[in-house]
Parts: sequence; structure tokens; C-alpha cells
Amino acid sequence: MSTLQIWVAQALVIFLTTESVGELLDPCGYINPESPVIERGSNFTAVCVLKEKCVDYYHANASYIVWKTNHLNVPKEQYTTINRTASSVTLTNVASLSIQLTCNIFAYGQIEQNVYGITVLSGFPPEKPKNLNCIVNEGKRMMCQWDPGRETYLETNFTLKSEWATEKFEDCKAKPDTPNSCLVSYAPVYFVNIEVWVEVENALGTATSDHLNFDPVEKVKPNPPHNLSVSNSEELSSILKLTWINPNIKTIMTLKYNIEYRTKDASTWSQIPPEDIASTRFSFTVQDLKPFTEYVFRIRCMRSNGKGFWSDWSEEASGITYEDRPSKAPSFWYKINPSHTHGYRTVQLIWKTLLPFEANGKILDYEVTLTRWKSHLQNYTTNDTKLTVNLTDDRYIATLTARNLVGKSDASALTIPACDFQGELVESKCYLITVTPVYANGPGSPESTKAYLKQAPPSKGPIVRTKKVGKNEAVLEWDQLPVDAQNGFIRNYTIFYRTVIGNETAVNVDSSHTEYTLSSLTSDTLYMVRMTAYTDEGGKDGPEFTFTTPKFAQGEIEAIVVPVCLAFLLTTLLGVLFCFNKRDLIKKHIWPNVPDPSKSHIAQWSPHTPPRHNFNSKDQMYSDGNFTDVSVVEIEANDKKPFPEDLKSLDLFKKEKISTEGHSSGIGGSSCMSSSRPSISSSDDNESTQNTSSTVQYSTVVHSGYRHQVPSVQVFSRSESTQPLLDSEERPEDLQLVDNVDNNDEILPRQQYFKQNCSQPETSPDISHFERSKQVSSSNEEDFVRLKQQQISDLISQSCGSGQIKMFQEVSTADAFAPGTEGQVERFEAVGMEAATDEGMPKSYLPQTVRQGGYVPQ
Amino acid sequence: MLNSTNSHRKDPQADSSVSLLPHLEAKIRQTHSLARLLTKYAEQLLQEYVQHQGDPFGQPGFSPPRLPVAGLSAPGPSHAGLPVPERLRLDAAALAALAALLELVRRRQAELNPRAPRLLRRLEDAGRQARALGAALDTVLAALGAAARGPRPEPPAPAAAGAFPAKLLGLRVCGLLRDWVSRTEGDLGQLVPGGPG
Repeated sequence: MSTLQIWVAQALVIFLTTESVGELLDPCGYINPESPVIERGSNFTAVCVLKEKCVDYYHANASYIVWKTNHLNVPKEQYTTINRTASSVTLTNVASLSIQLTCNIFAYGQIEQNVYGITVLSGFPPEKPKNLNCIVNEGKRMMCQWDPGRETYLETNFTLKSEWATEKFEDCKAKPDTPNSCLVSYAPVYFVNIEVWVEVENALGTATSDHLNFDPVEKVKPNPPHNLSVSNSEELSSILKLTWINPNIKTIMTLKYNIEYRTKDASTWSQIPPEDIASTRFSFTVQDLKPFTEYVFRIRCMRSNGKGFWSDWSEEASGITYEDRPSKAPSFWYKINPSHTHGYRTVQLIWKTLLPFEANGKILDYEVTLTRWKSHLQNYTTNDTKLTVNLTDDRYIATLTARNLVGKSDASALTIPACDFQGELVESKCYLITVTPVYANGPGSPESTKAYLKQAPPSKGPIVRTKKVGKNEAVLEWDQLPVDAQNGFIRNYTIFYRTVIGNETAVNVDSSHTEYTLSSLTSDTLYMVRMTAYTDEGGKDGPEFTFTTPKFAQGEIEAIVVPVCLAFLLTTLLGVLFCFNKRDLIKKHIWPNVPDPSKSHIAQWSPHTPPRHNFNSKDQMYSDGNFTDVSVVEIEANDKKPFPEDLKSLDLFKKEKISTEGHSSGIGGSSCMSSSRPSISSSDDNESTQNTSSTVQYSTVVHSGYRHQVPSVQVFSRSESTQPLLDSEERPEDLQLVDNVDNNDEILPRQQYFKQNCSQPETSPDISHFERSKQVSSSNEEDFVRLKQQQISDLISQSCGSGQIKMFQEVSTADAFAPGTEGQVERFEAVGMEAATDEGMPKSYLPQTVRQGGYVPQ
Repeated sequence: MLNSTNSHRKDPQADSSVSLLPHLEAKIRQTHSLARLLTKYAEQLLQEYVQHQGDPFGQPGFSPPRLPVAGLSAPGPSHAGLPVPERLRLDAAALAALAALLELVRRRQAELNPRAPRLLRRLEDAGRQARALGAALDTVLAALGAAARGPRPEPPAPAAAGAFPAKLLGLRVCGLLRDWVSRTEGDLGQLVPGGPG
């Protein structure tokens, strides 16, 4: 029981104690918000709320609240008393990173008591990370870097996220001290695209970078090649061979390299052309190096397609190229000891060592050869840089070569004069004086100068000549005087030039020149020019040279002649073109075409016939150009109806004519047929005939078509000859047919003229023509015509003339049986007679192409 | 990557041949390189697995039976006559099954060889890489216009067995991984321009 009492007493003490402590720590109020983080530069409002017990205890209310920031009172203007227990304060444009804000109250109106305090943090929300990039160091994990953006002044977490298409990887959280990079925890897998991005967050917000999707093999930074070694070649002193071991990454990618080298003492690197080492390899031979020179090399590599990063440089390695023979002969001179005993003298030969780039290796020894006469040789070999020999008083030639492991240098030669040599200087002679300094370690660079004991004027003057002569200028040139003729230093030249009548002009020219241009010369003028060379002691004239300036400058004549010629050619061309365009007009006015009657031929015109050139090969002999003023007369159907008598007679005539055509075609030529024309054209329309005659001067009428040319009813041919007609041709009755036909267009829809030659017997067109004729004939005549066709077929193989005679005779006979055709019978008989006459003697009106020599132009 | 794959699956013929062919060729080359790399990794995994299994594994005369693995067959000669897309489809299916089996093996090895972190990490990486290679094959198949494969059934988890059968299973899975990845490399090689195909 007592124990229980003790326990209860202890618990009561603890409870009371705890409650009293809690009351002691219980603040009189609080500030809301408790832990604010605001954006820098923004406004912030806090509210202090007093507890009722404190209000009562301290006899105060919210109006007694005093706000302080970092122990300094906030101006009352920023306060707001919300109610009896609450007061707010607004801080504007908060710029401090951290502000201690306290709420205080005046207890009992006098004693300032702290009620509550908070810390206000300010900063910036995170920016979007930019420039995210990753690198995979070979054999290590992938590291990504990014630009974190501006400082936030707040605790900001950067997280690198990554994933494959198939799964996500563990987040990589950046360390606070390196917020711009993160090293992932997993090994990269090449040839699988990975997507990475950065997420950043702080109390004021979050941001995400752009996503980066790549194959890690494209971000590889290989390990550098290692074990780089350099070896030289005994065969070639200008090469060094590098060998190395590639990084393991070579098993999954091809590599390219950078190789740099320098001589041991140089500071700048030279680079091997990258295109020579653009694929995986383990050695390379560097060329064009200096012999016996130490070079330092380094190498690095990266993926051959350029995607990725260069490795670090390898460790440097050096090597020395092999030796080469010395590239230069050593400098070489002598000293003669003045003491002279027994015909000998002591001569010391001295030379200096070659520089390293001249020696091209380690000089093993020197070889000296002394030659007194051409055959007396003395050889010495020494590895020293001097040699003392006893020589006779004769003149010697000494040669010296340096030798290294590879070979000997070229020889340098030196003449050791004979002992009795004494110099004697003369005036006006040019001497070359050379001084070679002698230092303790060898000779220096020699210096030379020219000198005269005493100068004199040149012994001859310079010879001037023209190099180029223009209209107003001339370029003069001359040669330097020979040394023997100079007699001193040529100081300057003077050029004198003049015309025949003008004053002489002098021009001074520096002695270094060998050319001078005279300007402002007069064209087409003779000039005389001479030169004088001067030494310090005087001058000497050279020979005079004359030249004449041309009248015209170069190209001036061409500039005149060429345009004139072009203008002439243009005018001529235009004239020719004009004449060509107007050739018909000119020809008609100046030389009208007078056809050669002997080349006349018959033209054919038919709506069913092809052009004239289809007649036969003989017609084609006469080209179109041979015929000027060929008139083709088309006789259209006339609306005027003939009288019945005329119709009757015309009908008969038509029948007659068709029959005649059928008989005549294919047997004979136009000469045969033409004779029928006057007979057929028995019409008495003289007036019409005259009209036709006035336009068609020569014409011949034929009855048949030619080959496939089937005239409809009648066919006319006309000669293009403009020669006066013979009397018989000019008779109106010869041309009556034309007018007659013209007046009978009702029967003949269209009649044409055409040409046709004789001696072309054609059968088939005649037959077709007969068939045509039959169609236009009456039924009574049809049978008769058929009979005649048969007869004609029998005769068709006969000759032209006789055939025609027979045919016309038969036609006449046939027509005689036809009723009402007596007039036509008579005319056909006349035709037959004329045809028969043609065979024996040509008629004067026949076309010239019908019979050779049958017509003579009058 | 995933989006790209899906877009190919939706309409493999949508892209013009001009734009598709370089992309496809690059993808085939990348996948072929991955297969070649994983072949090497699989060989290393097999060697390391054997090293950690104790006797009689790794002994010269040890020739364990080639036990069948549920849900996965060995690449057989019967596939030789199949067209390349069909062979690739089989490759992808086998790789998906292998990824699950490797995870199973890793869990058993975590019990049997908890002090072989490198082996466990290799097993984990191998499963992940098998999935990646399978996904890449799917992308190639979609780009080739081959029908996308359906969901692959997860291989049934073997019943709990003793340590030796578990080691044998792991050995078999590692061997199959090597075989299938190697065959995938060969199949893709026929598609690589200038390759054997």
C-alpha cells in the first residue's frame, strides 16, 4: 500500500512538473507562416497571433505588437492590426537571403517581450537545366553534365533520370557541391539507346531539362593508346616508326588518331595529317624527319566517325632518327708558319666542327688530301679539327671531308699558294678582298668587298639599244659594262637623246639600272641616243644609236581598219539580203525569164491528178524554176444554161470527145492528141477564144490523162513559152475548144490544162479512163464504146503514130454510125488527118517538147 | 526510343522508303553491334558462372545433361530454312524468355552465392541486356513490316529444387543465352548491308 502511495506521489510530481515546464515554454503567441520561403524580390506578409492568456496576463492586445527584422523595428506603416489578438506585417521587395522576423509585445505597455520569431528565406525557383550532355569514359560509368541555371540561394536538388525503352534506371542525385553533374551507378551498355534528362526542384518549384536520347557508344571517351614506342630505321634516316597498344574499346568501334611530334627542344607540336590515321591501327611511320634528331611523340584516339570524345593524350615517347652522311663540308683554312727551313714550310690546316643538323650523326674522323701536282696526293685522317703538315714551297690544293657512320661529306677545297707568291696591285683593277675571322673555336663567317687601288674612267661606254619603241615612248636597255672595262665603280649613267633638228636632252640614271623608258617622244621621228657611264674619275660615251618612232601606235591601225571592214561587210550583207528578198521583182525588171522553147513541156491539171512532177521522169527534167509566169486556168461551171440546140450539139460533142479520149489515151503522146484539139474545138465563140488567147499564149489540148491522172473529160496543156505564136497557133479556131469548153461547163464540171509528153504509152490509165468515159456516156453509146475499147486493146501495143492513125480512123468510123453526130465526125476525121500528118511532118504549133527541134523561137 | 518503336509498329510502311531506309539500316547495324557485344558478354557470364558453382562445375570432365528449360528451346537446325524475319521473331521471343530466366537464376544465385556480387551484377545486367536486345529486334521487325509478335507468356517458375538442380538450371540458362544471342548476331548479319546475306 505504501508502495502504491509512493508511486502515485511520484506520478503526481512528474505530472505537475511537466505541466509547469510546459507552461513556461509555451509562447504567448505564434507567427504564421512558420517557415516561409519566398521568391527573392517579392512581398511577404506574416501574422502574429497572441494567445488570450497572454493578452490578459500582460494587459496588452495586438496594437501593442512590435515587429522586428534582424533586431530592427519594422516601420509602423507596414503593420496591420487585424483584431485584438492578431497583427500582420508586410515586407516588400525582400532582397535578403535570410531574415529573422520577430513578433514582440509591450507588456503592461512598457516592457518589450518577445512573443515569437521565424526565419524568412528567399531565393529563386530553379531554372530549366540546359546543355545536358553525357560522356562515357571507357571502363567507367557514364557521367552527365548540364548547365544548372542561375543560383537559387535555396536548397535545390538535381536528379538525373535515365531509362531504356524497356526499363528505367536508378535515379542519379547530384551532390550539393556539384549540382551540374552526376555519375550514374550502372555500367553503360553500348548499342542500346538511352534517354536521360534532369529534374530539379526546390521550395519554390521544379523544372525539367530537355530529354537526351543517344547510344552510349556515341559518347565514348576512349582510354588513350598506351605503350607508345618509337624506333628508327637504318635504311632511312628520315623516318621513325611508332607503335602502340590500342584501348580495349577498339573491339567494338573503329578508331582514328591524332599523332603529334616535335623535336626534343621545341615547344610547338606538329601534327600528322589526320586523314592518314583515320582508321584503327597499331603503328605508324612518320616521314620527312631530320636525320640524327631526337623527336618526341604523343597520340590520342577517338571513334572514327567523329561521334564521341578524344581520349587524353598518351604518355610521350621519344626516338632518334638514324644517321645520314654529313650534309655540308666543314669550313677550312690554313696558317703558314713563317719559318722556312730546307725548302719546306709548316702549314697548319684548321677547320671547325659541323653543327648537329649538318653533321647528321656523330663525326668519326676527317680526311685531308693535299695535292701538289695533279698526281701527287697526300692523304691524312684525323679526328681532330686541325692538322699540321710540312709542305714544299709549291702550290697545294687541300681538300677536307667529314665522315660519320653512314658516309662522308662533300669535300671543301682550299688553295695553299706557292711560297714565292707576292701580290702586286695595279690601278683600275677591281680586287675582291675577303676577310675571314678566326676565333678560338674556329673560323667565323667571311666577309668580302670590292676595291680599286685607283679608279679611272671606263675604257668604253655602254652600248644602248631599244627594247621597245612606241609612238611616244621608247624603252632603252643596255648591259652592264664588263669589270675589265669599268676601271672603277660605275656611279651613274647619262642618256643623251635628240632629234635630227632638236636639242639634246640628258637624263641621269642610277648605275643599278639596265633599262630606262624615254617618254614624251614625237611620233614618226628619228631619234639619236647615246649613253655615258661615269666612275668617280670620269665618264665614257658609248656608240650612238638611232631609232624612229612609228607613226601609229600599236593597234591604232587595226582600230581604224577593222571597223571600216566590218561596216563594209555589213553593208554588203544587207544588200545581198535585200536583193535576195526582192529577187523576183528584180528578175522581172532586169532579166525576165525567157524560157527555152526546146525545154517546153506539157502541164497537166486535173483534180484527180497529183502534181506535175508525177508525170514521168522526163517531165522532172524541167524544174519549176524553168517556168515563169505559168498560168493555170480553171474553168468553173457556168451557171448560164445553153440553148437546147447547143445542149444537143454539146452532148454529142461530149460523147464524141469521150470516145476520142478513150481512143487516144495511152497510145500516143500529146503531139498526137494535140492535133485533135482544133478539130474538136469547133465552137464559134470567137470572143471567148480571144480572151483566153490573151492570157494563155501557147496551149495544147490533149484528150487523155497520164498514168493515174485521169482528166474528167478534157485535158488541156499549155506551153509556158512567151515567144510569139506561129500563125497557125494564133488562129482562133485552134483555141476555140478552150472557150467552147468554158461555155459548156454544165456538162463539164471542171476542165484543166496540163502538160503531157509523147512517147509514153500507158495502158492502164487509158482503160480506167475508158471506164470513166463510159459512165458519162449514154446507154446507147455504152455498148458501142465497149466495142471500141476492145478494138483499142488490140491496137494498144502498136507504135504511137500508127496506133493513133488507126485509132482515130476507127473513132471516126464509129462516130459515123452514131446518129446526129455528123459534125463531129467530120472534125474527128480532121483530127485523124492531122495526126497522120504529124507523124510525117511536125506542125509549127506543136509544143516544143513533143518533137525535138520541132520549133524554133522566132 | 519507346515512342519510336511504337510508331513503327503502328504503321511500318508510313515512312517513305527514302527516309525509312537509312534509319532502318542504322537500326539494323546498331542492333547487330549490340548482339555481337552481348555474345561476348554472354561468354564471359558463362565462364564466371561456372567459376562460382564449385565442383563439379568447371572440371574438365564435367558434362552436365542438357536439361530442357520450360518455355525456352535451344536454337535448333530446324530454323535454318526459315526466312530471316521469322528467325528474328524467334530470337526476340527467346530473349524475352531468357530475361525472365536470368532473373530467376540471379535470385537463386543470390541465395547460393551471396558473396559473388560481380556474378550477381552480371546476371542482372544480362537480363536487362537481353530485354534491350529483344526490344531492338522488335523495332527492326516493325520497320521491316513484319507482324508484331503477341504478348509472350512468362516462363513458368520452376518448382523449388535443391542447390544442384538450381545450379544446373543457371548453367543451362547461361548457355542458352550465349547460343541465342550468337544466333541473333548471325541472323542480323544477313540484313546488314555488306553482310553475309
